[in-house]
Amino acid sequence: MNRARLEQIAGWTVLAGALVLIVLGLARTHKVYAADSEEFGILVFERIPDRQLVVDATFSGVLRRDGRLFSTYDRSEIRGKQTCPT
Amino acid sequence: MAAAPRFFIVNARRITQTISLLLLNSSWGPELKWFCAPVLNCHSCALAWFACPIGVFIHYAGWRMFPFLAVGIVLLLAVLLGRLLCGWLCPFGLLQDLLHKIPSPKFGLPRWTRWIKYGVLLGLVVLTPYVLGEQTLYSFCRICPTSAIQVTIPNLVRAGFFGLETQTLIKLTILVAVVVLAIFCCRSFCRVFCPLGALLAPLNYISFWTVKTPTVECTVCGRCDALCPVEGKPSLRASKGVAPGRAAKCIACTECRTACPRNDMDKSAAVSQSNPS
Repeated sequence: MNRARLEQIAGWTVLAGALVLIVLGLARTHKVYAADSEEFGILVFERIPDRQLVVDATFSGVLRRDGRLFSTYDRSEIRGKQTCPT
Repeated sequence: MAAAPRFFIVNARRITQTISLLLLNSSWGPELKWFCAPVLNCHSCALAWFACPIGVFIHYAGWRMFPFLAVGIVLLLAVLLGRLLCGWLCPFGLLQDLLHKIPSPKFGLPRWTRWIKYGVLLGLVVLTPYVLGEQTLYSFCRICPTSAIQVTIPNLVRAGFFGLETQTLIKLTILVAVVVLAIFCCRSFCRVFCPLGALLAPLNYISFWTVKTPTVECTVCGRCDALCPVEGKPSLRASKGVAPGRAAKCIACTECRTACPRNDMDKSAAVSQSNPS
């Protein structure tokens, strides 16, 4: 098998792997708790897709505490009006 | 003969880099920060339209989760385009290209320095956030020169330079060092420190898009080596019939193709064959 053929096979393998990762990422959801929801010992959470968690991450709005993700990112506000936690 | 295509390629690359800079930092459309554009452009900037994959990897490492979507998008674009992303789309690459145009003595880098970026990727993007948490002071974002330009300096100006902390001073010192180094050595940050470059570099060997061999009759004249901005020695591969783009260093600027005198001769031959009169 020549070099070009090997490169082609490796390329298609990585491409397939990337597509699998994207599908998994699009299908995955996360339990994210509201940062100020610990009053009365009740934790309020919502399930958000992975792509939303990436958006939250870009605002440094998510912290991990005791194995749980807590977000301060206000998703109810329209785009451009959300306050940046940083 | 060589001047016209070279002029065209260089200008096409500058125009593409400028359009990319404007597009990446003109967040006027729909919410696209879930999409990791595989170039170094800080997503904490208010103008940024896409997420920075390095920043996202650091957050996910800190949460001890695997960033399926971010890794998938980066791998997909990297296997399709290779380091064309570095050479044609990265705004920080554009800045370094322009800085290198400042007249000054130029020098190369020792070969061993190319390994540093892999250490940066493993250490400051994966390990330290994973062990110490995403807010650690020892992650790449805390010293990232792009973040210093897009976020730290604007914030400092807005605050009237109050609250200048040690961490900020370190970040700005690194930015100054990177800028100065880029004047003397072309694309020094990309070649030595960039963790995204480290991620994309191995994929250059298998990417679907690559810089093709300019000629089948390479005489190793060295013209392409002299023009290669990353000291990639494309003639070594071209003389063996391997595409010059099949190297970790190559940023797909295509300077080697435009510099090749045989390339032009091949074209003239093709023209004379198709038009014998």
